[in-house]
Amino acid sequence: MSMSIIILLVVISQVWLLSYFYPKQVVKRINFVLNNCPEKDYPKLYPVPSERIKTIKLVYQMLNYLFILFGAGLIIYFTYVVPDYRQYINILDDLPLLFGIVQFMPLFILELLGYKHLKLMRQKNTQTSRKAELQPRLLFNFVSRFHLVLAGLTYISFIIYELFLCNFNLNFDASIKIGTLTLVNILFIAIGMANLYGKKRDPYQGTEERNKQTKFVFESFVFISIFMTIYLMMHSWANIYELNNLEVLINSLYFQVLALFSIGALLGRFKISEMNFDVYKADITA
Amino acid sequence: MEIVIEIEDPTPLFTQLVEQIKNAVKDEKIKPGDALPSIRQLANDLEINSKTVAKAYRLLERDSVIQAKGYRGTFIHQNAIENCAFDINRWITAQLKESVALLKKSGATDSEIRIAFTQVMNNNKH
Repeated sequence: MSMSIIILLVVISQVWLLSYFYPKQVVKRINFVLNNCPEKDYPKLYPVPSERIKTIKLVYQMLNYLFILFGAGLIIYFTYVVPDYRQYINILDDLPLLFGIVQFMPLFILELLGYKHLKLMRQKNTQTSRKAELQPRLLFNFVSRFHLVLAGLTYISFIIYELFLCNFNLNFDASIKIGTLTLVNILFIAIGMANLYGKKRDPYQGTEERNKQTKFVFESFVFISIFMTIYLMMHSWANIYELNNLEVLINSLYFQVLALFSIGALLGRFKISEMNFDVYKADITA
Repeated sequence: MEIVIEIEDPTPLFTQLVEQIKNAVKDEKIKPGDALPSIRQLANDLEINSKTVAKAYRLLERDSVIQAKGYRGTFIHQNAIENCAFDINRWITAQLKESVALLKKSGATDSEIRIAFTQVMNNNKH
């Protein structure tokens, strides 16, 4: 199979996975909640009217459809319109990366709106009784020491590798990569710690659900950190040997694996049908 | 083991915490040597001020129900079950009854005792 066909298949897969498959799963989950937990029976779940949630869902769907069209347009352009895509390889190598960022945007917006939704739930919470587990939440109950050490070692290896590539004279490119990875890791640690010791974002969430969520956050962050480090190492390697074709593949696969570790793992781990929605029902008053 | 506090209950929050932890020890829901959550974790989970939890932990430590072990955390005291049986309020009342009886026997009036008690308490604050 020629390289151009492999690139084409990988990019098609990126468009399908990030703008069609996972968004469809997300919409399915929203529909499940809207259909099975109506506003009148589960008022705590709706600090805003369900109509607003339906509108947000529609905008989310529309954005994804738009990106499918945009992605298809790019594929058609570089396959049929441009006589030889290799002429544009210097633009093309970063295109899956930029397009991937754009493809993640609707999900990012949805996540931000989710934060806002939970904040409104907290504000409208009128419960006067508060519950807490009388057990400490310890880091290693949620993430294995092996995985954490592995992430740390991968990070250190990356720094040594980058320094080695620039003969231990830190250049702009290497410092940007090391800086980005360090900032991302710091962000992961901060979010992880907030999940472990911080306040509950969902005021009605039970202990079991919270522990499950914390475990997921740590596990996915550790894997994303390791994977991101490997990606940056491969990126540097492809840059040095000017393997632009390979860079297109690496960049495209990067976003697909990232989606697999984040949204894919989330959808797989938290089956909507297994979630306890009873906590969002109206309080029964005698 | 889960504890529940009532925000609108007239009983102070730190007292609710102390009583619930003592009850959990008495009912053997938590055993000597078991680890307790950190002050920050418990305060965040209950959405109350960490000073309230710190006060409850201080009182429990004073009563030898819990034991702080530096960076390792806070644990249930080895003699917690016996120590929970000690009711400090009852002990204070008994001690005061004895003292008041002695003072009255010496001829002190109620108001003199109250004024003196307030003065002693106020002086102890400084």
